[in-house]
Amino acid sequence: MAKKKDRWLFPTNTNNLRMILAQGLLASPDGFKKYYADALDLQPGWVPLYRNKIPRDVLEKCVSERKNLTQCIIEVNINGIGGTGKTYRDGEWGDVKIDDINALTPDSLYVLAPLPLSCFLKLLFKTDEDQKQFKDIIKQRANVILAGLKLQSTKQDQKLFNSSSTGEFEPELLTLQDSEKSLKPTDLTGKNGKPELPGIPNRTIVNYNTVYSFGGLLLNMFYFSKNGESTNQVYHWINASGDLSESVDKEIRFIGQHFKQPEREPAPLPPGEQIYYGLIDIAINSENFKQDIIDFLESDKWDEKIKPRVHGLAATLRNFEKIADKTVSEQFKEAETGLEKTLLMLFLREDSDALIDYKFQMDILNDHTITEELISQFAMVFGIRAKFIKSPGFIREFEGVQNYISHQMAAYAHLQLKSEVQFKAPPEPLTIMDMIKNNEFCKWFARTAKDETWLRTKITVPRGDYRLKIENNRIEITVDGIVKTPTAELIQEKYFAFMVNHKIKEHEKYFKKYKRLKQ
Amino acid sequence: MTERRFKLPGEEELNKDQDRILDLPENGQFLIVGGPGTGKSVVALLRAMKFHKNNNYVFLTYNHVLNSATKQLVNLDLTTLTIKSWFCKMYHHFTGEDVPEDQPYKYDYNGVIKKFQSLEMEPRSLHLIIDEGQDMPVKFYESLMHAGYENFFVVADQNQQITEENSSRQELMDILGIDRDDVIELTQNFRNSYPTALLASHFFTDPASPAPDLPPESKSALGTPILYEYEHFDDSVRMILREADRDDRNLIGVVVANNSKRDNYVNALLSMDVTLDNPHPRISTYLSKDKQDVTLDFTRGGVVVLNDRSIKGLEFDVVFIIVDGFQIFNNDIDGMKKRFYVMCSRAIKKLVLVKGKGYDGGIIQILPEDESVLKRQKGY
Repeated sequence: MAKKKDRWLFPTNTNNLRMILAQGLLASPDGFKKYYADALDLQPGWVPLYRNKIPRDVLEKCVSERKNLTQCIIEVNINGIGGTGKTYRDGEWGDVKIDDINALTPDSLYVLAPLPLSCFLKLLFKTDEDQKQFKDIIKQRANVILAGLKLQSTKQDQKLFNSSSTGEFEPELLTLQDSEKSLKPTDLTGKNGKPELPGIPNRTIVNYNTVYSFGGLLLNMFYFSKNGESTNQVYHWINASGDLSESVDKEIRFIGQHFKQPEREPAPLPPGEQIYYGLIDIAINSENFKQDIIDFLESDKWDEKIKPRVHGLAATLRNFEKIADKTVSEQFKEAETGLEKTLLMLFLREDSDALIDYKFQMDILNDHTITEELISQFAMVFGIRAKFIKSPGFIREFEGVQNYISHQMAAYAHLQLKSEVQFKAPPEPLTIMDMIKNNEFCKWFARTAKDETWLRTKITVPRGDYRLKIENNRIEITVDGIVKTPTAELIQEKYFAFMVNHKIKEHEKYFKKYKRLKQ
Repeated sequence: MTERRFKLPGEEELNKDQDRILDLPENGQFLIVGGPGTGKSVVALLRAMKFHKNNNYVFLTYNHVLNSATKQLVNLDLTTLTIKSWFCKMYHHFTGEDVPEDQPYKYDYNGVIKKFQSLEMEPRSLHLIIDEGQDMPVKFYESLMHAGYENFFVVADQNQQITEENSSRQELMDILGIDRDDVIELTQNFRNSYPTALLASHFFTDPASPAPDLPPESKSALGTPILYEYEHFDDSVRMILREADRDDRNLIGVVVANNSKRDNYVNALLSMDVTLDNPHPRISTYLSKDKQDVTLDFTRGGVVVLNDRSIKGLEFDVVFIIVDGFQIFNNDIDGMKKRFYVMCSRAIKKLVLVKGKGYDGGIIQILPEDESVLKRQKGY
């Protein structure tokens, strides 16, 4: 008889589970904006996974913070995780290859946090009623999105909550919840600057704000790549799935590099880039964006040479907050630099949803006050500011997007940690512009959008004589030989003018069509 | 005009106190207290949505405008009524009679209680979710208990009492049988910015309860409310239209003291021709004599002109308080401060007080002189 497959389980409570789904990562407690004590407290920085059964005390810990909390379990796909984890046996921590864990005996495995949503198999509940309640509650939240995750509460699942096991190593582990014994940032650096804490697993700190901002940036760029090839290229460059052309605006390159080379310091930067650096830093870390931007610009830190320009920028923003006897378009026209326009947009609209809904007036598009690259810049900073958690839910609901971006965030965090842990990547979702590169899809998309003016058709005809016949409103060309299938080409400028105010909500429908046309 | 809906909260936007309320058991008596913008109505609404599937609840609001706004924004066929209309229907349903009155429009709750006692009412499982519960007298709750109701979820704020017959926090605790420790207090102001909350706190009058917490302060003092003094009436109207055009998703509340001011502003806002980025904003209004016939649309951006008595419980992205017309009578400064407290605390993003040159009405004496709390501006 075949051996029953092992199940790897992470116990928590439904409040934390909602946060995990909302933030897009199973993070350590410092990666939660709101956290209730659960198994993550046992070894902050590490995710404990239990094989087939969970010690009773750990389950109880998950609902210990207050009355009326509900236990639940995340079943994790251990085969989707590679690298090294930790096990605790005979009073000591030891390394273990995660790939080998199924063949070994330990009842638990500690994996360095964070874990992406893409390695979740199922969400398990103690009772049908708990499962039903969870489903009902998440309908009342803007950002708890299941994206195909399965909820389950079978008889077998229910037994997982009634464990009588206390766990072979439980007494030692549970004492680690005491805050004085928890790992603190100051504890982490030992001799020679290397992380060191004998007896328990080492960890370094993940800058979760940056990780979540990276997720927000990717989500926004995935969506805004609809605007044109240039934006699509920026998305793929940030996602490390493509290169950036030399001609792209230096501001875009600068913002992207902030995430691609996070160790960069602001000091040696030229003044203009120092402002961008501060802007991104505030977008990542601030809880009160507008106030902090004004404080930053009005500070005395600026060199005398650029001080008037920076303080002038602050004054413009202060005036913009007042009620002016001008339209917003007029104020955009008066703005002199891309930075100024980006800041105005950041002050005008509070989140990415609001940016997506913004209707750009044709005159500011026609006179290039607003360009595709400038909107890319808007989208980048809006995404960074919103982070994954406040990014538009409808983008996260596009097939495969939530899991993919969650995976990218986890990979980015582990890169910061210089950890060996890897996660199996889910398929990369295609952007609208990726799909438009397919000629048949491109034509279908234009017809569906009821606007073909942004397409031109190229016909390659064999050399030789041809005859032209003009009839009413059509021209008939006759050539010898066979004409190749006509190809559609995007007229970038017209396409952008059409797409910039066009909201894409039916990504699923487009992707299905694309798959059919590709077959 | 861009669509606007009740925005479901993000998981991280609910704090642990709100979580605690949302995790409360279904049955029992609960009292939630908190100042404006602390999310009382949000938790009440989420609780109603929880019971919606089984349709065993009623969500009760004090006035018709709030009732209409709630229904529209949730985009759910919520069972929601004003407290008084539900009470009348309920009483009629059980007794076949109209609610007895001891004065015109004033219910004789003792008579109601006597009637229910005589009928020996059975216990009922219906969940009563009552918003602005402080505006109803204790006898109202007593009547409901005699009618057999057992499940109460009451949200209240003593400093926003607008009626003569009302209940204090202690009275609500006593009648609902709730210990002091079991009352859940919401203290974090989610709605207002620091400068708006600071100005609102200037009008706080209740000596019995502490003023609500202010949001974190910032040195840039961005968003300090403005007292705008106009020379020509048209300037104030153009300013409102400009603000509405700035973001066509915003709902702008223009709050006035009386119907004559209401008519002035509605007509001027409808007819003024200004160059705008977006189409002319939608202008709407409501007259309290229309009762349940609320034609206001809270689901789209635009300008809503309302008397201050109708704005309780509502929130607007931007609030313009038209000071002209407000007048302190009989030296009732506390009464006027309460009205300004309610009006100011409606604003999410921006708050502007507007007055004609030379108008006073006794209001100037209650406004803070400190320009860091209320900036003065002439022209724009």
